[in-house]
Amino acid sequence: MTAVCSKQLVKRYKDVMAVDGLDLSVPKGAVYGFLGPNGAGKTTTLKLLAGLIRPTSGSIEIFGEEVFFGSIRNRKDIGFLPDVPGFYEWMSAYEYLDFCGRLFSIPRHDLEKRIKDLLGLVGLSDTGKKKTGGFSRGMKQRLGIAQALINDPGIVLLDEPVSALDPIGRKEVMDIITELAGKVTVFFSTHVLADVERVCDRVIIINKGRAVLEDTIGNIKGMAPTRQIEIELFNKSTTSLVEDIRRCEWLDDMETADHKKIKLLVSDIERASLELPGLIYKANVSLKKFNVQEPTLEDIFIKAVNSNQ
Amino acid sequence: MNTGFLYKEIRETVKTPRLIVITAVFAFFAILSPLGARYINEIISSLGDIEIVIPEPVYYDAWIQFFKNMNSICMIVFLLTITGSVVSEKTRGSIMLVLSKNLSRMDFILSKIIAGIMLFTTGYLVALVFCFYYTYVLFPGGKGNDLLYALFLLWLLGVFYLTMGIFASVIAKTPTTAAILGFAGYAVINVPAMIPETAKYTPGGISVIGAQIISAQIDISGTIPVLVLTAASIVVFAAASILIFRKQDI
Repeated sequence: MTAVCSKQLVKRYKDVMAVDGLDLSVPKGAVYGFLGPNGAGKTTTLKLLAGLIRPTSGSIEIFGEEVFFGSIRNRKDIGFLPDVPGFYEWMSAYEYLDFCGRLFSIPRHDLEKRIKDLLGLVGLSDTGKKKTGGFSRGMKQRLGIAQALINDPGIVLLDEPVSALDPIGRKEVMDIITELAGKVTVFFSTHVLADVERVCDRVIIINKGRAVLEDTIGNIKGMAPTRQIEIELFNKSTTSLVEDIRRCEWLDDMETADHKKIKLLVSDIERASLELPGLIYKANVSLKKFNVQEPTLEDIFIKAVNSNQ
Repeated sequence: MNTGFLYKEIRETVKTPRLIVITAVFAFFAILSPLGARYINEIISSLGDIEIVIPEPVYYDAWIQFFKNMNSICMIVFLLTITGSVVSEKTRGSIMLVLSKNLSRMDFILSKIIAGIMLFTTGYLVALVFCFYYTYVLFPGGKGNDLLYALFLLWLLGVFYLTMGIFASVIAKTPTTAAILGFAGYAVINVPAMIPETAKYTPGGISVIGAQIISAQIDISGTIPVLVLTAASIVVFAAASILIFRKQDI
């Protein structure tokens, strides 16, 4: 079943096309990464999905039910965390979640248990009567995730949940998202690619409001074959080795910064990996490091975005 | 109606300085009104050798002063408090969290209006208690003509400022713009109130008409235009706030 489905979604602000014919299909239960450079249309898309802004054209369905701008029909299925969540500073974390529960008319007994569970999940159980006005950014983001889950939604839409956090805060939030995997569909935007690689099943990369790539992490990485080898040597005199490599058929490009470090771009990674140790032995140089570099999601992201410029 | 947001609005009124500020300002001017009316001659005499002959103050002078004070500082403070109510939720980002829950935009605005009415009514009732008490003490045995009706009109004026403030808050992009719009609205409705011929055709004229009612210069039938106009304006501002807010991108 599809959790989120958008067809030809468009949002135009006067002269700016924020979202330009975006088709989304997020499978139920997936942790779905939503990537794109600044201004790509990520926040606008998330607000469209949450029914907070009116699409210029196109349609959105959440669990098969159409989303209408301003309507509260789909709210029971959605949890939403904006990029900068604003809480009422005079409320404690408990009071805020209680307030959110009241908006969903959750029965008192169920609500108390739900709040307790959520505060435990996001690590805010010990905040007691401390007001949200005194919370750190990390605590606010964690409370933001808790409020998005108060109605036990089928999907949570998280807009840049870690971008403003320090490494510890980032890890805490990513751990919570990892815990949600399998229990609820998570659709989150970010530009921290390491986090995407860690938790996402699928990703979509958008640029200028358009989808440029959509697949599983494994498939996306498979699209860019491994072509780079890095060699580091102890010896300074490596001229003969460099000359030998230059004569190889599989070599596309070579960078030799100080003769101790050689970066190779090759056309046949298997053959290069097989022949290079022999060449090093023949040149009588000592090997310090031999590294076959996997393409990173960042490489693919930059390539996908640049090819769409 | 989703009462969860109304509950939050009421709690916010109590937990933040809003209720204390409004009640304190209203109470201060409510006390000042009969005191000012009663001792105006003494105050002027104390300023020096100024020879101004002012008739001996009577009971309804205290209430006339109350009407003037309420429609100036008190209403401006209340209006400025209200103009921030919607726009500040937008600028601090809290609105996205609540509107992504089971809360309709109409209920959001209605909750703001109901909580605002409760805030104004509380401050107003406290002000009335003080004004009645000090007027009773300083002007014993006095009686104003149709005082309760005049006070009802003043309450209606407060509700009018409330809906006008909410409207300014809905259409403005920043709290400062909302405050400027609210103040401009206050000026626009109070300028015609200064002219006797047009006073009864603007809600701002209620302070003048209220004074005329209690000093028996006008009977209730003469106040119907301002009553109808104010009530209609309340409905128009409330409806316009809801309609515009329902179409806004958040």
